[in-house]
Amino acid sequence: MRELTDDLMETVARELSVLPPVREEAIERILELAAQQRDAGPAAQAARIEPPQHGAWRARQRAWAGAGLAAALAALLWVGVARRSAPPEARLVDPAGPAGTAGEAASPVPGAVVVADLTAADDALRAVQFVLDAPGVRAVAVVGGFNDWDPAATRLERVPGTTVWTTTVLLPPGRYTYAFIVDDSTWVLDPRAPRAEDPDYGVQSSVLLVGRE
Amino acid sequence: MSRAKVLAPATHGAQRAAADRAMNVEIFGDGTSPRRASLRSPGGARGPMSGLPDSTVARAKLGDHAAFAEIVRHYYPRCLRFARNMLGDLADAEDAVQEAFLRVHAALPRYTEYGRFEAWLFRILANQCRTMWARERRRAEWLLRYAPHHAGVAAEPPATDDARGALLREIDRALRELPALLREAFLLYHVEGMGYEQMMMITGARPSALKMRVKRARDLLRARLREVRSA
Repeated sequence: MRELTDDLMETVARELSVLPPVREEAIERILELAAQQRDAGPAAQAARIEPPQHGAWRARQRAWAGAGLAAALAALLWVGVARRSAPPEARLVDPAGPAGTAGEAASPVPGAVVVADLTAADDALRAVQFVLDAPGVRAVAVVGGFNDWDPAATRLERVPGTTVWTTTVLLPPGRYTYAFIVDDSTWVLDPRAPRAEDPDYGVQSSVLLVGRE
Repeated sequence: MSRAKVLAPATHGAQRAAADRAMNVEIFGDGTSPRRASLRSPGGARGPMSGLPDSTVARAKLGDHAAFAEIVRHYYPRCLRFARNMLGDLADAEDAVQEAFLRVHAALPRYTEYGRFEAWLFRILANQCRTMWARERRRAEWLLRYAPHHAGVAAEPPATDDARGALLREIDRALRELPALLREAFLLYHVEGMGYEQMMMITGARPSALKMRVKRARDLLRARLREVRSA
């Protein structure tokens, strides 16, 4: 073994050299996505967007991401309209909460609400509105797997004349964990969302399910 | 991939022990595994022999999907091992490798470094691992800074019933404590069997710096593991 002269380091290198089990479906998935990438063409490849997010939905995101970029821009404009005139498709996706409506989005209530679908495609971006009623606070942010847990990434804005803070983000279908951070210091769980404990750090986050429709 | 990420980094040792069992690696009574000559190549790389014919890469560059599939199947196990050792989690490693191969696929039409494909692939993979590691660190930072601690500490790995499982956990923990650049250099040199020239192509660092990183990583790992063992 290279330059490893003691048994302990020999053992370390040997153990780390064991090849992990390879899942054939993981390889097949790569080849499938590569074929989609090829079929989408170079322009779509260049337009790939990669929302920072853990887990199972990442692979599917790639399939639509190229086309999604242009759609996302259009949707941002559309969401502004949607929040004023309730689209019938809008719904609350929190499985633990009551079904919401776009009317609620126009008059925000705490929680995370899907207010718009961008296209009819299964993997289309959904506009998700995060709302928190937080009287007497100076700032509210939402952090989660979708924004790299970065409190600077997604700030909520206060609805003028109210104590309600809100923002809208575009997310593909999937399961997300998130929390609000109030005044850059306090971790606040969504009172209307189910909760999950982080397997790595033992802390709780809220859970949002964005479904395919 | 339809699996939830529920594996704490600390379970890495248990994962690998399970992987070994799946691969029918005999576990000796003294807690060590037998040397596996099949994992070593004459060039020092452990695992499937490195290097595909340039013609395969050339065909893939021209859009031959079968050639790209050949590349993926050839390099996937070593890529997965490197990513697992870098990230400490098999599910994250699969994500990193998938992303790296898709980037390779997208960039192949512009690929010109014939004879250096492996270094090119590992450069893309190492970048992806660095990005994911930084993201994970950021997640940990925010979670631990802001979130109320219900469990108080990171989830403990499941207990394993053999000495080797404990050893693997110690190794994993020591590896995770290394700065990412040291860990990367150690793994490329001692596990992937690469030379400093090739590592230079992957990391962009000079050989002298890489030698220092490898030595420093070795010293830190040795010290940490001896400390744990003497405790």
